Amino acid sequence: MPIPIIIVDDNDADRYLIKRSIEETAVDCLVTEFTAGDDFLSAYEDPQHYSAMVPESAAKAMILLDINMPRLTGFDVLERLAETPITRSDFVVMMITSSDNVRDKDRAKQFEFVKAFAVKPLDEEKILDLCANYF
Amino acid sequence: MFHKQLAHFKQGIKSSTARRFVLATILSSSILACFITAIQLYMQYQNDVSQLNADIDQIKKSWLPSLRKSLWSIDEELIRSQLQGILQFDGFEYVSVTTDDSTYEFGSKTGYMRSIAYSYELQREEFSRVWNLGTLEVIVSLDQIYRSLWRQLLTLLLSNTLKTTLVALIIIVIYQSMVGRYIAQLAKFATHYDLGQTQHQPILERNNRVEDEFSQVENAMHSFIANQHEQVEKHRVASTTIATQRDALEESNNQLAKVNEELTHFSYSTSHDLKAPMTSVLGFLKFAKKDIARNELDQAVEDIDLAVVELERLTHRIEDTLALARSELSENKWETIDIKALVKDVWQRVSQSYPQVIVSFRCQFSHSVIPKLVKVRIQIILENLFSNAIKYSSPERPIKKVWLQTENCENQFVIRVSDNGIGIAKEYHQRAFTVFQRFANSPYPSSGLGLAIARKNVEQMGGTIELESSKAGTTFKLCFEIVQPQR
Repeated sequence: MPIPIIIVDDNDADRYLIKRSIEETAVDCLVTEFTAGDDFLSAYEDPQHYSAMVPESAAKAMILLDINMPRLTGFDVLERLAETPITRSDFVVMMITSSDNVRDKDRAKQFEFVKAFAVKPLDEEKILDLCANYF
Repeated sequence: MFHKQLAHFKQGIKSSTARRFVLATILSSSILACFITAIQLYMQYQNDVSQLNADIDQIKKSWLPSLRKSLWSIDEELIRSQLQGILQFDGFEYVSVTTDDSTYEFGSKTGYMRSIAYSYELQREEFSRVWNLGTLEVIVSLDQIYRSLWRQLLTLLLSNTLKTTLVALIIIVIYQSMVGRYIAQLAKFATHYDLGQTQHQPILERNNRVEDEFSQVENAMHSFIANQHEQVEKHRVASTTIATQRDALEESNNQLAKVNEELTHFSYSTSHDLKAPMTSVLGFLKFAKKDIARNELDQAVEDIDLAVVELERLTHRIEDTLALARSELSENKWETIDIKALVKDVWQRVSQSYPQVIVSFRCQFSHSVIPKLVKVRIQIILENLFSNAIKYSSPERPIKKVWLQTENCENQFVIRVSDNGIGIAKEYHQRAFTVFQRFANSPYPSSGLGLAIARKNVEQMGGTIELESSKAGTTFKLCFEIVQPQR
């Protein structure tokens, strides 16, 4: 059962690095990429689009969310996710960011669906841990 | 005239000071008068008594010898007429001569209250022998004296009382007109005086300029008031100064708070955005190592190339950050710039950096007056605005347009830089000029500092920058005051 993984990061290089990290883990997955928070959210809120990303048969989705993005930041996205009535919810979010800022960590912790916080460059171990705990 | 005095009287009688004054004056005057009257009456009494004594002496001197003669010669007619003569004296009420054989008496012993009786032995020395002729008794009534004394006393008392009463009334009037009303005026003045009014008012209503204690008080009060005005003025100046200083302090505080906030935000953003490319480089190098280990050399080379790109991005970002810091610090060289030439020159340079993008550029210079500006800063601003316009041009539009307009509007010099690019959504307008903000992805590297740099440079010249945007494109409006104080 491939794990649906959604990457939301505006930086091409970072997205590339995350994908390679995922490849290194050799986990069976279905990866979708977004370059901006609002693009992701419009896809998330459209059931048809969402089904394309996250098949019905999948129990959960993994969202790897960057903090520093143009227009909508990672936190803006989290807030929208928290507001949106949960249709086919069940996702797990890991924040990926450049700086190990305590304030950012604390703010992210307030959302119960954020289960991990990683500093770039992303360590494969982190992905494996997340898979082991939640998938 | 009478009405005025009557008015004074009516006022005076109400005044307790006036009443006490009159009372004290009258009382002391009356005591003195009583004293003097007593002395007067005593002296009168003494006078009367001495008159009486004089009469008695007279009788002793002249009448006694005559009586002796008439008694010796037993001349009854003479005796009687002499006795009657004695009775003529004032106050003599009874006279009698008593001999061995007979008594001659005239007057009465009653009908009066107080009297003095005198008796004299009448004797004659004859033929070497003392003959007792008889005894003369005289009673003098003192009633007359006392009555006259009494009458005098009553008269004096009455006239004094009358005089005292009249004088008291007059004193009240005089007191009120000379003293009382001025005191009342002073009190009224002091009560109603309002420090706010600045007119110099006379305190006392007096026609003649008299130099007395009241004018002294008046002068003292005037100088006191002048002093108060001085104090009030000093206070006003002091509190104005304090208010101004407080305002300046508040202004200073606000600026400091603003700068502090900017700095905090700046350091947060900078650390984030400068670190980001480094993390990517780290990632690429880690994978490069792995790829070399697996002998996938092409992949390794690709990783290293990508790392290089990131480092270039970082370099670019650091340069822009320094440019932003520099735009805060650099000194201003004000001059009248040739804006037309400058605009064309900057456009040429910028558009050459993006050769793949075909942009049509137009400019229209409708201004007549241009203030003194700093050439380097205008260059930087235009560079950033132009490169943004190119970078964020719309891929959907075949003809990408950028145009620049200048004009004079309400004592300002206005530059507008417009494009038909992808635009910036209204919700991001506020953030647009802060650091490390990007609202769209562009095929061209962008540090997110362009607008921050542009704004800093605009502000350092005392101008303002605004942004309008829609799906049709974006316009930046720069305004500079024509009359500019030299910094």
